[in-house]
Amino acid sequence: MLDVLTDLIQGQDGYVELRYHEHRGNGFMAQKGRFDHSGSSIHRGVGIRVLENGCWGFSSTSDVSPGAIALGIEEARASARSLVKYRMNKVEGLAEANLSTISLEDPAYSRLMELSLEEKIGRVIELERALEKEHSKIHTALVSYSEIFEEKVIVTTDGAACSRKLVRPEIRTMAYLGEGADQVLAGRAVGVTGDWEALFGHHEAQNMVEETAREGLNLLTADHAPAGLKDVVLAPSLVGLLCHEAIGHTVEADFVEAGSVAKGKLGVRVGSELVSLHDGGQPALGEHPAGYLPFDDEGVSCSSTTIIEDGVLTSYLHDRESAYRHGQAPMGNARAWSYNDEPLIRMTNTWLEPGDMELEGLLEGVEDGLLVLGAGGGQADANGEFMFGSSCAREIRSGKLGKWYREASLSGVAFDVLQSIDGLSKDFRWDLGSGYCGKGQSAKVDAGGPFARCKMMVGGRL
Amino acid sequence: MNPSKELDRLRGLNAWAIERAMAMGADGAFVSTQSGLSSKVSYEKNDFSLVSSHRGGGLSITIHKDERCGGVGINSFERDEVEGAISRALDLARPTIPDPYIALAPQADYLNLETPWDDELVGMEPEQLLDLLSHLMKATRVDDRVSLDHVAVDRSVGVRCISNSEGMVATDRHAQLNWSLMGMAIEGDDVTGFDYLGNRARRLDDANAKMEASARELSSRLLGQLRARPLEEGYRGKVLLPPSLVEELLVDPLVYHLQGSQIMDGKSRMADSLGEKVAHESFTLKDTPHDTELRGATAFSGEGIPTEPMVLVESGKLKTHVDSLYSSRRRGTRPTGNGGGPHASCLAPGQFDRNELIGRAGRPVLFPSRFSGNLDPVSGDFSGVAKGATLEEVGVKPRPIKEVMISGNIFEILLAPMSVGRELKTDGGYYRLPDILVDEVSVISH
Repeated sequence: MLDVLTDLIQGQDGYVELRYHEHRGNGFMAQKGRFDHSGSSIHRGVGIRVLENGCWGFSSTSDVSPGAIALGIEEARASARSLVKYRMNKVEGLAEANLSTISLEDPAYSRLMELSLEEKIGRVIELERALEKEHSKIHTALVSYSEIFEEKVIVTTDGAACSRKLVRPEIRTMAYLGEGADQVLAGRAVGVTGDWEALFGHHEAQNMVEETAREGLNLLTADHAPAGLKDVVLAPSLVGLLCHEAIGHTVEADFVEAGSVAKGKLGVRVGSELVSLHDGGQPALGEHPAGYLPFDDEGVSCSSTTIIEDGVLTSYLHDRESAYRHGQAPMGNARAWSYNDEPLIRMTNTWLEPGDMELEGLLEGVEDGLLVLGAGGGQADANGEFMFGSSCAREIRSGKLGKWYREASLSGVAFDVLQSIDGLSKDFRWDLGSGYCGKGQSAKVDAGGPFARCKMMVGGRL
Repeated sequence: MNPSKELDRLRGLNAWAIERAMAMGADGAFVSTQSGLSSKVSYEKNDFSLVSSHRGGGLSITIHKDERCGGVGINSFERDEVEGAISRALDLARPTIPDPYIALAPQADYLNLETPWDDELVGMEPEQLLDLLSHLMKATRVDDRVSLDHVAVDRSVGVRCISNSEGMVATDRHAQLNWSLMGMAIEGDDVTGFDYLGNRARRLDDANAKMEASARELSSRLLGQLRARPLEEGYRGKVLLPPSLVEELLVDPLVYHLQGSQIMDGKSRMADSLGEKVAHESFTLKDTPHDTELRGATAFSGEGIPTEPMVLVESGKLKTHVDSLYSSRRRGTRPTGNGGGPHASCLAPGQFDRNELIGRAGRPVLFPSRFSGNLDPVSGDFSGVAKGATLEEVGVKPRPIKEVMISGNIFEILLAPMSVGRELKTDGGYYRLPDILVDEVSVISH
């Protein structure tokens, strides 16, 4: 396909970007002793983006023959031309970038492709049966597994010519306990870029059946978390969610240009001196992050962006168009979920640098607070307000862990929370790999960090 | 697109795929095909940003073999790829657990819904979409404090055909104009949160008026959030929910417990509640799948079961559970064509206008426009941030509130006294609902 796209782009005027994308997914789910889902999907096509007269045009085709792609280029050009009389500020240029020419096939791709359906489905059945048997109070056990095999080929008129094959598996366990009106749900979820060794070697996958059951039993007798502004110690999954939802979205250059709270704050202190925050497709810390990318959907080689350094905001996240306007270098944050999606500015893997404390030391500094565990969903707003959920929490009283609490929602204003961080543990974990980011399109991302101590609003019950 | 010709093509493809599946060893097969085209124009960061077009289709096939099933979806109608999908689906079925309750829907007669098909809308050129987008954008930016992050207008046209080896065949089509708006208000250092809304039209001559209404509502909500302050003191009591939150916080969690699939798994708290009180007496919930103004309108379920209007909860009492074909066989009930719950939720209107609802609160009452938080449908517990909230009091200008959290339990709220608004509203999606003044909500100030 690289040769086909390279031939097609020869002689094209202006900026043309051709992206072949094949997305193969498998998904399996066992629940309550039966097999609820065994399915596959294969979607392939070519997305075509053209910059003509300072305007973007985009088209896509599921017919990957050279003739259909050539027709798609003309359709994208026609779309761009139709925009000329409407667009006020024409795109003046695209930032110079380190355009990729690599061809990468992660060995995990073929290893997981070759693993038999019997083995994959058998593992799901085995885990579901083990979870159901783990405790008599579990009335429904559910285990699901999915994997996305992704092949991309990107060619641009200004020099990108690259291809990659990556695979991202995920495993999820869920247990329903109790009956009638008094039921709880507990679960574990893990997602990585890599093979089964990476997936089942992830710290969250260790004893995930036993841990799911244990959490469910603890939640059965747990109260709701008390409401109010609290000293909290966030687990790495929650730190990842904070980095992604509360900070990451507000520094995406398209949000910044629309007026997000980060606008005009480059060089301004937005967090305590302990806070250094980054995003990158190929991070050096940790292993197998689910948002791993060697190059983005504009063909830009991925490197890391330091968003906050020692508490000071230092950079936004860019595609080539916004990087040109801001005079910054693009680091590979233009991403498209499917061939028929146009690239948007997205995060990849977002993380907070670890500190030098032990978890015990962080807890010791809390007189009356919460250790918040298990990230749920989250959302952020343009003004920096964010909210995210957690599946459970532990009381911290005079530095000691106490009783369990059921789900708690956390909210705050991003930069206020960063300013309140007064302790970071020395350990580091990627812990958001089973999640997807939504911004009109999905994106596989990861996030993580150390345990962090800060102040946050907890939404409990009055 | 000629919908009749395209549907003929899909019917033929489905029949061929089913025949091939049976020849390749399947005991039964279900095929769903859809094809269509769409054009989208976007406005981002206060400027026109992109024109895009897509044309395509897809096929998904589920194979039944030895009481097992496997399914594959592809975005191609090429016969060799369809055969590959059938073979793959057979492979996927083989290692799973046999289940005698798996079945295919029988042949049925379906209501002709006569969904509008506007040839003028179907034939729109990108320039016409750009003109509409321009109109929508200008109507929203009536005040330069309104900043639009993203506005999009898309025209979507498509047809769908589902068939199975029992002889079931059902088709439908759609042609509609959809739009969405997302933005914020900015006044100096005061930046509101994002707010968004959308709607759709099935006729081009309806579009302008509906777009202007969307624009007015969004700009009013955004400007109303400027100079928001935290609530000084929290309370436990009444909150006024708009239709979108009535759906999210009351209807959806309730519907979870009415589904046969949840009952058979022991997850429903309403398995034995038929005829019992599950909500306040002013709460009557219906499924209206033949309301063609709503996106959820359909004459048949995804399995091919005919849909029917139903009263789910009448004056607070549970009237019926809803079932897919599978859950009905498992539970020994009748399939209602509702595997995923209601197709179009509708509440019976109450007797109060919004001012009367505010007055019935007896105190300044929180009126959020969105909810960002966690809701556990099993327990009914929820907590999160009330976004775009105002504090409402009769005769007093609404006061914008920031950073307020709300929490409670949905089932306590459903049973507590509530006052239902008389005006039913829809965003063109899956509901037609009123405002409701509910009680038993914790409102937590910072």
